[in-house]
Amino acid sequence: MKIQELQNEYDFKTKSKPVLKLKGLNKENIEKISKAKNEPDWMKRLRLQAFKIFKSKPLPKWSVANLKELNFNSFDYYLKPEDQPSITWSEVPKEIKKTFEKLGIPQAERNVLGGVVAQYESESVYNNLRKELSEKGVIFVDTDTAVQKYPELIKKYFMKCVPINDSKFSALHASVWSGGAFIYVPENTSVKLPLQSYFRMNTEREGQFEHTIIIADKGSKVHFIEGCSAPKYTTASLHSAVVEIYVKENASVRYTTVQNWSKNVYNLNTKRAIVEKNGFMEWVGGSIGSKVSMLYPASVLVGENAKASHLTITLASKNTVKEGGAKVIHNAPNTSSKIISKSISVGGEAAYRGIVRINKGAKNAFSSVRCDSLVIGNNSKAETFPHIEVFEKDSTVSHEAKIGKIRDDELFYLQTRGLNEKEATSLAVLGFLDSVMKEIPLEYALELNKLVELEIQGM
Amino acid sequence: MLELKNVSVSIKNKVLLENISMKIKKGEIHFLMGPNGSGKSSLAMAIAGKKEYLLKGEVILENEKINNLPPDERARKGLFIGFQNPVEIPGVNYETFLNKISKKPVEKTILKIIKNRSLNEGFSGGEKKKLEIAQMTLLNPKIAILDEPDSGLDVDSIKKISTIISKQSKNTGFLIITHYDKLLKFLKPDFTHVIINGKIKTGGYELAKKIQEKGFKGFD
Repeated sequence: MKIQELQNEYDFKTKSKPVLKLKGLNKENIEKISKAKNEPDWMKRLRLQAFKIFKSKPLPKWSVANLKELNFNSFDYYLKPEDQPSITWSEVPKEIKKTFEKLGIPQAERNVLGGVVAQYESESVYNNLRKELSEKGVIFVDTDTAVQKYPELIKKYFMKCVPINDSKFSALHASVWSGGAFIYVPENTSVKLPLQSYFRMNTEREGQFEHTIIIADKGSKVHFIEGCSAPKYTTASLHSAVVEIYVKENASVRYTTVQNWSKNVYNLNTKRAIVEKNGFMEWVGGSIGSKVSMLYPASVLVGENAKASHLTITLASKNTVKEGGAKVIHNAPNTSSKIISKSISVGGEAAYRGIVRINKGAKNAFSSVRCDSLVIGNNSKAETFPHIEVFEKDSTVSHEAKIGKIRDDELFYLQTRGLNEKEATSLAVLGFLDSVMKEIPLEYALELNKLVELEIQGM
Repeated sequence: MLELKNVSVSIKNKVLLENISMKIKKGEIHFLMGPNGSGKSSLAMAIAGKKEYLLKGEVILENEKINNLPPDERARKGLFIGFQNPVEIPGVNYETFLNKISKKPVEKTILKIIKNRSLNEGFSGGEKKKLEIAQMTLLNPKIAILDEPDSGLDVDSIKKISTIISKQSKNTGFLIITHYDKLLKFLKPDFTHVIINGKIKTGGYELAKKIQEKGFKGFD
C-alpha cells in the first residue's frame, strides 16, 4: 500500500475565496454574522446573550486535554463561501464541487442516501432530499434555512436540549453558530435511507460551529450520518458543534458520526438527546482525526422504557489527545442504557470519560458500561474515568474496563507467517475493533481500516 | 536447505540446548524426538526467531545466515513453523489473514471451515493443527518445522496430514517434532534426532523405531 497516496487522499486544499470572512471573537463580528444571514432579531439577541455567558464561563478543567493553548481571537468565526445553497449539484461552485466529489459526494447520495446537506466552511452549499420524503412532510434543510422557514420549530427546539449556559463551549457555539442540519420527521414516518451531512473546513485557523437539530416525532424512525474532514494545516482550527436530538414517544433515532479532522483541529462538541417513553436513541461515533477531541454524547431518558445505546470508537495517534465517552441520565422507570467504548492509542492519549446517573424513581433501570482500551507502543496512554451515580436502589448498573496490549505471542505468530511487525500490529488492532466495525457505515469502516494501518505504519 | 551449526539455545541465562548441528535438505523428512521438557519446542521457537530465546551458533537457510533476522523475514525467506499451540487472535478474520499471507488462492475446502471465524479462536485442538498444515501448503516453504502436528488428531486425520506432508516434501525439507508412534505408521523419516539432556543424537529411521519400542532409556 502506498502510504503517501493514502495521506494525500484526505489532504487536499481547495482554492476558493470566501466572500465574507470574520476574524476574531467580539460583539461586532457576532452582529455581522447575524446580519449576513439576515436573521430575525430574536436570534441576534440570543447570540449576544450567549456571548456574555461565554465570557463569564471558565474553560473546563476536568479534561486530560490542555485547552490553554486555544486562542479564541485567532480564528475566523465566519467564512461565507461563494454561493447560497444550491438545489442541484450542477449549481454548486466548481471548486467546492471538486472538494465534495473527492470526498465521494454526491456519488454516495445516489446510491444509498435519502438526502444530503453539505456544508463548506460556515455555510451549507448543497441540500437535497428525495421527493417521496419531502412529500411525506420530512424536513431536511440546513439550520440557517430552518431559522427563516420554520422559526416556530427553531424557537421551540434551538438550544433547549443543550442549554446555552451548559458550558463555555455551548455558549461559544450559540453566539457564533452557522450551518448544520435541521431534520424533522413527522409522526409514524419511517425514513428508510439514511440522511447525511458532510462538513468540510478548508481554511487555516477556521472555526466551524454547525448546529444540528433532529426531531423525531411520535412513532417515527430516522438514521442520520455525519462526516467531517479538513485538510492539514499547521495552525489550530476549532470545531465546536452542537447536536440536539428529540426522540419522542415510540420514536427511534440513530446518529452516526465519523470525524476525520486533520491533526490541527480542536474538536469540542456537545451532543445530547432527550428520549421520551419507549423511545430509542442510538449513538455511533468514530473519532479518528483531530488534535484534541472532547466528545461525550448524552442521552437523557425522561420517559418510561426509554433506551439509549452508545458506541464510541477512538483512535489517538501521535501528539493527539482524545477524550470520548458518554453520559446517560435515567429519569424514569424501566429505562435502559448500554455504553461501549473502544479506544486505541498509537502514540497518543486516549481517555474514556463517562457518567451514568440513575435518579430516584427510575425503578428497574438498567445500565451496562464496557470500555476496552488498546495501547500500542511505549509512548501511548489510555485512561478510564467512569462516574456512576445511583440514587435508586431498585436498579442495575454494571461497569467493565479493560486496558490491554497486543500480546507478544500474537505478534510473533503473525510474524512467522511473513507479516512484518507493523502489518501484524494493524491486523491485531483491526481484530480488536472487529466486533464494533459492522456498526459503522461501510465507507467509513474502510476509511477507519486505512487510517489504522496508516497510523501504525507511521509509528 | 536448512543447516544448524553448533547451535545452543538459552532462556533467561539458562542453557537449554548445546552444540546442535544438523542439515535438512529439500525432500527429506527429519523427526525430532526426546522426552518432555527436553527442549524440542524451544529449538523450533529459537529457529523461528522468538525474542526470549537466545540462540548462539548459526542457522543457515539456503546459504544465508538467518539467525539475526526478524521472524517475518525468516518466514519470507522460506521458513515455516507449525505451532504446537496455534495462537488465538480474537477478531482477526481467518480468511482475511490467509489472503494476506498467501500467494495462492485459498482452497474452497479450507474456506468452508474458516468462514466468518477468527484466527484459531474457538477451533478444537485438532482443527487448529490441521489448519496449520493448510497454512503450510499455502506458503509452500523451503523448510517446515512442525511442532507435534499429530497431537490432538484422530487416526484418519494423522493419515491425511501424513499424505499432505509426503506430497509437500517434493518442495520442502521437514523437521517434525513428535512424541507419538502414530505418525511413524504413515511417514518414514530419513533421519531421526533425539534430544536428551540438552545434547543431540542423530540416526536414521531405525532410531525412531527403536525409540518407539523401548522409549528413551539407554540414551543418557
